[in-house]
Amino acid sequence: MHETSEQSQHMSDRQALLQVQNLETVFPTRRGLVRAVAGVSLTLHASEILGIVGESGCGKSVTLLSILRLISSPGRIRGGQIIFRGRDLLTLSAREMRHVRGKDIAMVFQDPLSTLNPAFPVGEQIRESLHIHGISSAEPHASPQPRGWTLRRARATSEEERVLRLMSEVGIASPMDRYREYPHQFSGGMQQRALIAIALACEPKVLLADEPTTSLDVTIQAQIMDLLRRINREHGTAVVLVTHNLDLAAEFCQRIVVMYAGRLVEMGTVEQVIESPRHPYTRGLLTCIPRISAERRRIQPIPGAVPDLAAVPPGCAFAPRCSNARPACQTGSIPLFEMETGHRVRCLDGGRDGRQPDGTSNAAPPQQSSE
Amino acid sequence: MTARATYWGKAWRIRLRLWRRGFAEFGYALWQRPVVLLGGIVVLAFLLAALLADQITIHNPMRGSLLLRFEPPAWQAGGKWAYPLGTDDQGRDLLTRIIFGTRVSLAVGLLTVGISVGVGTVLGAAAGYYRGWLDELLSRFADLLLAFPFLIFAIGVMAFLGPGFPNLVMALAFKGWVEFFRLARGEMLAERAKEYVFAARVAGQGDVAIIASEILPNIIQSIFVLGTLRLGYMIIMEASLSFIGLGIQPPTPAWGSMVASGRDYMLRAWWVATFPGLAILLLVMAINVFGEGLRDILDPRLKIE
Amino acid sequence: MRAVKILERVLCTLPIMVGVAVIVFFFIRLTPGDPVDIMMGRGGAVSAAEIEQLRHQFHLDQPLHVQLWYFLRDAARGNLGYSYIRNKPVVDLLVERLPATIELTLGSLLVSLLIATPIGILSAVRQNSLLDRFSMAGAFLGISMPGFWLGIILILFFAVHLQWLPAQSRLSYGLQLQELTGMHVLDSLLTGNLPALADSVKHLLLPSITLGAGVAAIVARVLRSSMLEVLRSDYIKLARSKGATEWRVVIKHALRNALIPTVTVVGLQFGVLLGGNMIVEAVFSWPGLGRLVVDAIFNRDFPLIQGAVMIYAITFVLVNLVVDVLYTYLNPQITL
Repeated sequence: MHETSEQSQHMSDRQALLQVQNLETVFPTRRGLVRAVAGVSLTLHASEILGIVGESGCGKSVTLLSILRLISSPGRIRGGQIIFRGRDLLTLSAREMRHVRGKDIAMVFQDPLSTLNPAFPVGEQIRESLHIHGISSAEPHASPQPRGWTLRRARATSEEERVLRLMSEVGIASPMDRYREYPHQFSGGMQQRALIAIALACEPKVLLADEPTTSLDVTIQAQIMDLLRRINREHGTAVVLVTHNLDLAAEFCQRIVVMYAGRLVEMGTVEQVIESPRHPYTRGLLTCIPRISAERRRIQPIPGAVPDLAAVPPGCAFAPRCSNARPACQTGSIPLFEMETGHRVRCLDGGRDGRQPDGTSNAAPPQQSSE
Repeated sequence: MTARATYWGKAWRIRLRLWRRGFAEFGYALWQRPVVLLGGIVVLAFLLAALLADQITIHNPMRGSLLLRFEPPAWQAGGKWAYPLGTDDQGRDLLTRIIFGTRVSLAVGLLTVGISVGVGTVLGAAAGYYRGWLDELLSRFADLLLAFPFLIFAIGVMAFLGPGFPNLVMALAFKGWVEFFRLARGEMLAERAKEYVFAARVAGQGDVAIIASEILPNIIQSIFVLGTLRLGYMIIMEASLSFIGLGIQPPTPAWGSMVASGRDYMLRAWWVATFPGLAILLLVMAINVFGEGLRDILDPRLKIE
Repeated sequence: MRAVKILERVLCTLPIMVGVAVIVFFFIRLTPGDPVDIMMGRGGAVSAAEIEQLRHQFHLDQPLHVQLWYFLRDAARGNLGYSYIRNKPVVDLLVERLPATIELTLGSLLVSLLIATPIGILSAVRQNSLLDRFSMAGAFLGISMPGFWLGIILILFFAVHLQWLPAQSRLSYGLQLQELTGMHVLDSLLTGNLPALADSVKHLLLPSITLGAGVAAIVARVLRSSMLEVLRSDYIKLARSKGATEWRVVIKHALRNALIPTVTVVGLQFGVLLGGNMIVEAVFSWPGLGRLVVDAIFNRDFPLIQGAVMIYAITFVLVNLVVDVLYTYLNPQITL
């Protein structure tokens, strides 16, 4: 099922920046072949903030890593296409891919302390991004052009200047002092800012953020999210935010994709998904979130557990835990139904009034399954 | 049968069953690693050779016939199958001497490691458990001994003490216990904070009983693995010392001294020095392969370098 | 600031050095027999009066702790005793032979690092490949092999059979070399003496390989396992996501961190180098400290043995100190 043409038509006149089509990433394990990402398709538009939400193990991080082709063996990307700027990233040579990484698409990881190299000063690690992609200050040099060692020194100096500017932009106070310090000397929030600075260094079009605030405490979380929002606004960088926190996604993202067991189960704008969720899993997630509100409500956890990704049952992966499941749910693959413009759900029940891309509608049989 | 007796009987039956299952699992793990199994078999072969040396050899390891000096190995021109690896400068059969030399190497190795493990573990456990001045004293002493490179220390001691079997074992063990001391102490420090120790104390068990019956079984595994790995090292040490004349003295067959004496005749009779050394290599390699395999099986997380 | 901390560290090693001296002091008391006899090497035909005089000179008529004090005081002053067998102060004899030993030790260290580093890195990067398996098997062989035997086999093969390399000594007979540092390779470089350079390197090669093999094996294994661990870590993922080449990732990011535990192991292996030194010098008739000690054992020259053991131990302590300081430079999370 290819939805690309429909999607670009249906969205506003923002162009599609990154299109993932039927991505499949697998990991051979002793238990069997784990399909961490099983046919995921999504589209990212320029300057958009897209959220990928799901619980641990649903494949959201692997999706990001697959985009940058950072899957280490024995895992591999088995199928699909990742169209970025007219090229399928999966067909690029290693060298071409290296040019994309860090420069056009950059990534921010989850645990900043373990992601920063403990042996090098933070400033140097930021500078490395610039150095790798050969970006120094834009001003042309006056003649005579510096050569050889002098050229290297000149470049290094301009790179350093840029790093300092980057550091203050992401909110690291007194960058001059902080430049030579090591990661373990930074606080958690500052480490994450440093990671963002590294990602931002070459002004990428896309920023992939893999749970950037999960390991931070709540106040710092808010600051980091503000920072990301500002970057999105000021630089026009599209952000893909992966998180298990639906609340966070709701507050921050413009569009949301919900993943379960390696598949995409619901996607739409934040209003569509949060206010009128169609997939039982999404609904379940929303009721899981404790809220401080006037009424006291019991938190309803979703019964059951995530299936073993090496042995996903046929049909809907969520069916064993779904209270609305019918026999039809566990046979064949469940297609993606489009409810309204841009709101899609992979559920026979939730997609009751929806249409598939090929036009067939999903009229439900008269009787309903019991509650 | 009293209730207590039936309890103990049952407890031991359960233990036996667990052991049997443990052995079965161990055997299976070993079967999956043929190289390690091979190593174990080789070690066993050497052990048997050492024990049955008298039975399996026909020649005299100590005295040979001067008429038979420097017989080449059997497969070379002029060699005889009666002397498969040739003879040395005194006409003694090399293979026989090598087999008898196994006794020395294994005896020194096992004894040294045994003493090191015993002394080191007891002292380490005590230091780790009781802490205080005992810990300070022993740790400082251990640090001091560590300032000496192994061979230097052994040579120093042996030079003054004089060669011979008991001196050799003492010299090697005197430096060897330190490693086990540190290991036992480290593990003890980690274990003593754990809950089952506290529970035992509350139940009224005495200190020694706690150490012996509760903590020690948990520590014993890593100590055993280290001991196996060190065995090969001790054998090489013994050989090295015998090589420079400070270990086991001739005419007692010891691989190291055999290589040393053979060295003078390298041009004429290369086999006299080569084969004893090869024996060392084979035995130590087999021990190391088996020891590392053991470590892999028992706990791949144990990284003792 | 750092210099002060380093000085502190140096001072901390003093108690250990004193302890070493104390232990060495007691070594000589292990030998049964008359101390004077022992000092004289049991060869001296001395009269009773001379024995008495010597006894007084050696402070042997004093209680043990006074003797210890004299011993330590002398040692601190650089007086390590007198060798009656060779009729020279021990210190002089040791210093005389020192350059040869240093040369051998450095040569072995160089050889072992040259072998171990690429093997360790490549084995980790290409884990489970043919190269990896071969290298680790080789490393296994290296740690199980007795050094003296390796030396003999190498001599047999390269010197006797192939006649490529010399079997002993440091310099072929008849070659002239001006001695500046006492280390032939260095001296021939400094004086521009090319035939001597080639010759001294050829002489240094087999002993260095013999001594370095065991160390290379251990270092290769440790480097490989630290590299494997480092390559699995998150910051490697980040480095790749920056678009770095594999070369940069491995050499700059991974190796730098993998070196940290490896350096410690290298420092410890220095002890093996110092000990094995004696054996290798004996095998190759290399005229260094080790050979001196082995001869001294044969000659029963106990003061010399005592002095040499002390020097070796103290060198080891100092090397470990250097490694500790080096470690703090490599690992920014540890300060002095």
